[in-house]
Amino acid sequence: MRVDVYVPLLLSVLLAAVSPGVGRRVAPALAARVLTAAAAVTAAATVWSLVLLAATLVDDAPPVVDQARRHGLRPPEPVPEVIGVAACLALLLVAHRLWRAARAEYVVRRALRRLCAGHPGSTELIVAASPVPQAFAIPGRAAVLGRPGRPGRILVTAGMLGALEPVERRVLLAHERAHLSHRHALLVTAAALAVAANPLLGPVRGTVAFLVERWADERAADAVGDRTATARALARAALTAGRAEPSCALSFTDRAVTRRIAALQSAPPPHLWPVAAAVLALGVLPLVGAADATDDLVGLLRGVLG
Amino acid sequence: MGPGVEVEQDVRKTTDKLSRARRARWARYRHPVEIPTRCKVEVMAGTVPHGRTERRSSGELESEVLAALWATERPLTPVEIQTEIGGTLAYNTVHTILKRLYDKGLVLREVDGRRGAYRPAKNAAELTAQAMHEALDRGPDPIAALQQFVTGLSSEEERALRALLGGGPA
Repeated sequence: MRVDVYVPLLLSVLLAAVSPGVGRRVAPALAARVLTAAAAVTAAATVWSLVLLAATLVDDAPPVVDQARRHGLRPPEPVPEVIGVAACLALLLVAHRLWRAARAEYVVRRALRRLCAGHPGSTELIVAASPVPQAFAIPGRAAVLGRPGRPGRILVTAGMLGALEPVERRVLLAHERAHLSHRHALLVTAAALAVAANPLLGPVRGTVAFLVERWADERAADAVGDRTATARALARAALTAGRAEPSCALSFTDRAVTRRIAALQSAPPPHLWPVAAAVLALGVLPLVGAADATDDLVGLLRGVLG
Repeated sequence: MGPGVEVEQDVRKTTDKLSRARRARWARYRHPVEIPTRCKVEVMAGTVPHGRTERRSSGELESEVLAALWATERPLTPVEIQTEIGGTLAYNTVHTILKRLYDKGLVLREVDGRRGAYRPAKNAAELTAQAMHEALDRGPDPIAALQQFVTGLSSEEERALRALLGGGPA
């Protein structure tokens, strides 16, 4: 209990630290999947550890203290009280962050749904008659419990279409199509929620967002059969977008496009299964720590409450 | 039984004798988004097998033809579209796709200009553009979460990308 309960926290720092390196070296499809899975499990284990730490405050509840006195025992104190209180506060913060992340997700989905209004249900491409160069995928929804599903859509502005050469338009469509067919929105949302639950995982979110773009780039290069054309499409789209809004709010740049283009100019990265397995193991370990801590706490409480 | 099912039966009863295309159009008119028309997703690859590229489904080809029409200001004839999107597609295929897009109300036939030319229909696209600008103006939050094709550039990156494109029309 004294050590185990902190294991998920330590391991989430480790996972966050290795995620950019894994993202650079491993094939994007594999890396995105294992990093998201590991982050989701680690986040769940971290939250559970906080619950356990908060549960240790039960020692100070009057009935527990009475019971312990009656049996002539001292109430156990597996962790200092102040840590229990801190865990309670942290849980409140986590709940707030999760709520905020879920709400942001909902707002985006609703805004995207609105963009599809007025277009026939069976078309994939939605064009916006706007000179602003933009392109993104609008995720669909699977049919669940009688609610009808919605197919995913690709939204591209006329400004973006006009700037690209024919083969580059095919790259763009194939890229966005890959986002839809591989359900990248789901991965990105899962990573966002994991980071909301455990801020220590922060870097994983950016890595997964970058990896799904790389993944879609690779799929587009396969579909068009030309890595150079794919790189050129990215470069032209980026230049068009950059020129249209020179002083936009996104003055910050993480060199993501340049890195994607550089990756397309070299061979596709290998799958490196051992690294993927190691990341998954890193994701499972926090669960083991949390389970062990749970066992210890239950044992302690049973000892007191007889 | 939901309202969608009722409408579907309604459509079937009234339009049993109409052609499939007209029936589909009517169903869309009654229920614009919820009932997607059952469109056959047959593979329509070009007549000439094209090296390493994947075969494209009819839905994907529809997107490509629509994108080609939007990419230019002037109306395009099927032959021009054929050359524009790679030249590996049969003329008949392009024609079929254009007809399907026309049935959906996404493209218009040019009436007074060149005969047989098509241009994109603007109504829905303008509504979408308006909704998109509203979403963009509302702040960076919703749009930052989108998986955009590309994001911002630094000036140094811009120079490198221009070099990559070799001074072509960027």
